[in-house]
Amino acid sequence: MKRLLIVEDDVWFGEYLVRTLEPTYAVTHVTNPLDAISALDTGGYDGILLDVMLPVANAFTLLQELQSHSDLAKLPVVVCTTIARDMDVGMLAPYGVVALLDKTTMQPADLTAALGAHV
Amino acid sequence: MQSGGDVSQKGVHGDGSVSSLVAAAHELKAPLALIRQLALSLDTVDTATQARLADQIRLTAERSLRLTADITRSVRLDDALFTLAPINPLILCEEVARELQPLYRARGRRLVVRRRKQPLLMVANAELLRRIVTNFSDNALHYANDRGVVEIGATKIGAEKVRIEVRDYGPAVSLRDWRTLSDRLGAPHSLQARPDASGLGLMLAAEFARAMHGTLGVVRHRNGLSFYVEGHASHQLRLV
Repeated sequence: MKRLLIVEDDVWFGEYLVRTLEPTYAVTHVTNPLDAISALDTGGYDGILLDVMLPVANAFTLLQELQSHSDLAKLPVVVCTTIARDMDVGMLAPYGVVALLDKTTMQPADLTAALGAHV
Repeated sequence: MQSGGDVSQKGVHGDGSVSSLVAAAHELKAPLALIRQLALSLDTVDTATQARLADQIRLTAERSLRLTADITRSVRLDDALFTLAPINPLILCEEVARELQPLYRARGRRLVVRRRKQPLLMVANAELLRRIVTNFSDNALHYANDRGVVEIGATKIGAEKVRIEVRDYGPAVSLRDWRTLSDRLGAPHSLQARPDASGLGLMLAAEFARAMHGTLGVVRHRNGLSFYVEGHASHQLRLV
């Protein structure tokens, strides 16, 4: 089973993501980018599902950090956020972002489809 | 301001009205998105999980409704006269803790009131003070770490002031972010709670504090933050 790191600060939204994705992936849920970096240090992840509005440091700090490590730079990142409409997946592609999900309109199937296509 | 006439007629005022509306929209998006996703997944889970999700939906809706009530209150601040009276801050803290306990419990957190032996009285408007403390406690819930405790309490500051403080044990905040936060808590239309949060709730709390001549502030700890509201101490106790 592939390993997925979920970075989501809302505990209940995180639980929902875990519930939806754990039949398909071995999931680890963290609530901020610093914990994400610690988790990624242990290695073995195949992809990341990433919220944007996060405490401690924002998602872009994490994306930049990933690009500074050769082994993490190619990890596919699916961004899942309420501000998806204000973002452009093309502009985020250099940071490893392969798909953008809008939390306000997505269906559970969109989540598995977006991850399934890249992770 | 875009379409200034329309916005003004709805009672929203000041240069920051559009940014406040945008902040309000952003702040409400997250809980509404959560409610929607939880509702969508209700059919796919067992009965016990359904009951838990129904609780989460209700508590998230109630939290959003508190925010909308605060927004409504804030646009009417200029029209209202707020009666200031001596208030026992610890009783108010206990009331807030009772109100938020179901939300805290459902999130696996605890809201604890720090007791004190000496009685205190603070001159404030009860409704606005309650909204400020509720707001701080709501905000702290989001940032409390796995230790899971948020503390609220009241202390005397010198001879003239009383402070109600909400202490979280969340992630450390950088000195730069703390300075930004401190500056903005005192300024109209501050929009940052923690880095990358819209912080609408804290902006509203600052409006409420100004309306009752109180002040807000934030103290940075190695392991979290304390948000506080200060008001004048009542000297009625001396007469007792």
